[in-house]
Amino acid sequence: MQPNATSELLVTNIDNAPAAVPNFDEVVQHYWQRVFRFVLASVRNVNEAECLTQDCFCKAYKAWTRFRGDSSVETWLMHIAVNVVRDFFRNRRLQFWRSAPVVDASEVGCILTDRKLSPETNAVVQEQLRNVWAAMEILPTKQRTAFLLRFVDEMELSEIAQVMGITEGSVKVHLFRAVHAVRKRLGRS
Amino acid sequence: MNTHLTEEQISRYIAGYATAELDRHIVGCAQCSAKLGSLENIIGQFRGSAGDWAGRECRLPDMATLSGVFRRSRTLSLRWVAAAATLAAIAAAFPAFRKPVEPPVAVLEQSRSDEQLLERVNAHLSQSAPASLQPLMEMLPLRSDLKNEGEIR
Repeated sequence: MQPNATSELLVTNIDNAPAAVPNFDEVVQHYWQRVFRFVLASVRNVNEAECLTQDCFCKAYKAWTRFRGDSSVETWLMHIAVNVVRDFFRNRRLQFWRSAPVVDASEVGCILTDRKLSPETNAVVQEQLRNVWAAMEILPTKQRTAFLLRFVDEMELSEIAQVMGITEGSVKVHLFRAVHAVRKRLGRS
Repeated sequence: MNTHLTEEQISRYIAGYATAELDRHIVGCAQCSAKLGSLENIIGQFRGSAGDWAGRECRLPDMATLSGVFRRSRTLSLRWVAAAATLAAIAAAFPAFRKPVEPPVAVLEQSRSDEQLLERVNAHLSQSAPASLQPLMEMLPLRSDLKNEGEIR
């Protein structure tokens, strides 16, 4: 994660003015897509991801004046996003009559056809991707969260630990189990 | 390390359990290096697909609309607070509306007989002379009569 000028500016603003509610517009503009990407990869449903991203920023807006700047805005927002996603799956477990969202492989696959790959390679990659997405559906929430934060958001282990509210050792354990599950899934195909 | 890395060791390596020994082995072993590279490539493709999917579907919200949503949610939470306060007030007032509980009949009778007994004891104690001298006391004129006689004299 390379901090750019805008994120540095935001962190500075927050350090200086804890009640800087007007600056929240900048936070939304800057971090919306990033939060949305994590939430979408977690829930694998565009409509639900949009609602949950909005929930996340809504919670952040309410807590904005209490934000002390102990961590970066990004870490703080991702922490809220992780909790929002966790609550979503917790509620969903109670709604047992609703089936889990399934990623349409063609939806993800159509992106790859734009790349300069031979048809054979493209087919193999699509199959592998389908398996990784399928593994995401069966992984427990903590393992999936650790996997996505590490390999999609490219966060450091210490950052993931902060976002998930666990130790770095626990992050490694969740990551190991997630990677092992993904590899099993890939090996089975 | 003479043998190749196991599946578990490769997973551990990717998960962040890298050691100097594992690093050395991967650098020196083409087969393990290829295995690791293949896994990293798949993860890279996955990252790309997740990023592209989000990029394609992400619509930045209109700030005016979003501010409205934020304000509404704040009003909504205030409403919840008001509703909770009302419920708490009703719950607190509820015992005041309840009818007082009547004591059972046996308890009432017991207390009645206790009162009668106390009255009898009081009457007995308030007597100026013992019971055996009571007939003599009745023969004496009342103190008020004696007072009246004195006045006439």
